[in-house]
Amino acid sequence: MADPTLYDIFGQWLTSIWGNFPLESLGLEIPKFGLFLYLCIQIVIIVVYFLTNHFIRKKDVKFYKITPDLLNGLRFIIRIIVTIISVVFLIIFLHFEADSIWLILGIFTTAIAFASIKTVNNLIAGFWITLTRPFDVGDYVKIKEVEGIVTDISSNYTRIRHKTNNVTQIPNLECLKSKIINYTVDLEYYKSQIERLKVLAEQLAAPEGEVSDKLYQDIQSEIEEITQVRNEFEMIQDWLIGQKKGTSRETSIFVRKNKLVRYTFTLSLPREPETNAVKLDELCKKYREKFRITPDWKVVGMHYNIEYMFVIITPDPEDILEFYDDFLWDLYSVMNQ
Amino acid sequence: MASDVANVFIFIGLTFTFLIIVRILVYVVNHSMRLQRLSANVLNGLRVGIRILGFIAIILLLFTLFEVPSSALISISSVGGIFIGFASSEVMAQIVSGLYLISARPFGIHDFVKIDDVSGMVMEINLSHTIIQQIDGNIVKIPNKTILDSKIKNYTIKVPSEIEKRQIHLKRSEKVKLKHINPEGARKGKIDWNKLRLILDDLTEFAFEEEITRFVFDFEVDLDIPPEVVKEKIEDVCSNYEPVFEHKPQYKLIDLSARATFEIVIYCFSPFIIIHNYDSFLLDISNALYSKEEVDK
Repeated sequence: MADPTLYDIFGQWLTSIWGNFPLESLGLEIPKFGLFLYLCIQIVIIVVYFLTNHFIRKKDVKFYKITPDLLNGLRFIIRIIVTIISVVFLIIFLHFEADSIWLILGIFTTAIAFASIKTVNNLIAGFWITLTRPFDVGDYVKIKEVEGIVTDISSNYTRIRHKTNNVTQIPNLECLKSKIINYTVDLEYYKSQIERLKVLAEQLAAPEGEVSDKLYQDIQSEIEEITQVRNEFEMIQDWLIGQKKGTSRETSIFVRKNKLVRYTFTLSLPREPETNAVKLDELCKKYREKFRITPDWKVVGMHYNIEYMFVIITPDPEDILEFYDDFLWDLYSVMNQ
Repeated sequence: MASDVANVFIFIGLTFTFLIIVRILVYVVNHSMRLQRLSANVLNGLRVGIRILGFIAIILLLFTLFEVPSSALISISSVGGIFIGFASSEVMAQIVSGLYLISARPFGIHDFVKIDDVSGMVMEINLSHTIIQQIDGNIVKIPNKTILDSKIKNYTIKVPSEIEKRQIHLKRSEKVKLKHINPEGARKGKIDWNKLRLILDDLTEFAFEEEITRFVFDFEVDLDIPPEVVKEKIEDVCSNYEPVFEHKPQYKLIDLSARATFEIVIYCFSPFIIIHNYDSFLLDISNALYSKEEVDK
């Protein structure tokens, strides 16, 4: 054996006063005096704990400039510290063997490990999301039923600001498991669509005589349409660069180069397709100024009413939070005429 | 003994220093004018990176200052292994599901599928998500593990494998041979059209195609409109769209409770054409059925 440590000397001293409990058959040596000391100290700890708690609760919180948040944290930390101190005193005064301490520690760590699986799962999910990037900060997304701008991806939560300006915090694990609609598109989105249409047009043109004119024209007009949107996209980029030099309207921090928000929503309107079309076209033209690309509408379903989908394209996700309500009001009044 | 106590103090002191440094760095990232020019994403990444580095530094400090007994290290690491295994199970499940989807191929790229309530064209299957472009143009990312748990409807049919699948119960001699099913075989008269029709049913006219998308959707019509008018109108629109889809869309009456529900079946060689014409098809139908003159009648 090496030199006796302070812990051993202390243990011998404890035993020398009142002796041990007769538990040698169990391999335990619990000094009676140690137990007595421990109980005394424990009572003191509990009394001090209650006094501090009382003090914190009774004193004027505002006077010390302690926010309720901090107070809550303080009480939580005090409770944990008290528990740890009690356990340390228990080990010291009952003079546990080093081996049994390791054993207890092992059991505790296993328990803590299993208990914190969900938490760490969340953390790892956070890393995974930052790594695979199904969405970025500043994107307009819909995760499960929550829709809005991603303002922050932290290690535990993804924060989403939605139309009411409230912020929802979604656990990263939940983000990992649920389907995500990302309304933010980049130039690549339109480029790839044009590419695909061109390939399709080439395919159709290849076997002679079999080309149906309507289909071919259809695709050509589709290409023109998307090209127009893409050109407008580039115009918006120019506009954004001008914006940085300090002109016209302010933009939010979520405006990024090469990113557009293509937001869609559906509404059912009465079964008068012709009048609907006239009114909706008018409304969409009116909103060109606000969104910079004319909003578009499409028919996506027919049930009791006709279901219309609106496509709003804008560089600034905050525009959608801002103008969605205006758009609906105008639609309401237009439909009521 | 004394060095142990000193180590504890050094550890506590250094830990606090590290935490303060992390705080300061995060503050700098949040408030520096120069860094604000970077995108919000980079800033977010920077913050997370700084915190992780701080955490790693503290753990390294713990191991260098205190000589943890090797047996304890082993027990901690084994528990830690189980712990990390369990903790990363969700992420691992995503990766494994991705590999499974790519190898088992319940659907391929550019197939028109319906997964639970999302219907659209598959754009990409990556390690974590399957990316689908919906009919309305939106990009939806579905976690691979969710796909494994949900029902998948694939509208895109690979015709040759479909022919094989449908006559799997037949004897070898009774089977229609795949190698004959092409324009040349038809010219030579090697195809038994009656038999093929029995096997392929509504797909018979697409027997020579490599793949065909057979998209189905339904819509409801008010019972006020007389059935012969509805039939005429839908028939009209369907024949108008024959040149677009290259095959005439079919329609069926499938329900009569409260409203008449019709099912439209569109055959087309490319899902892309269906996505791009779906809305105009519906618009034409609504215009035909509820146009002013029709309502006035």
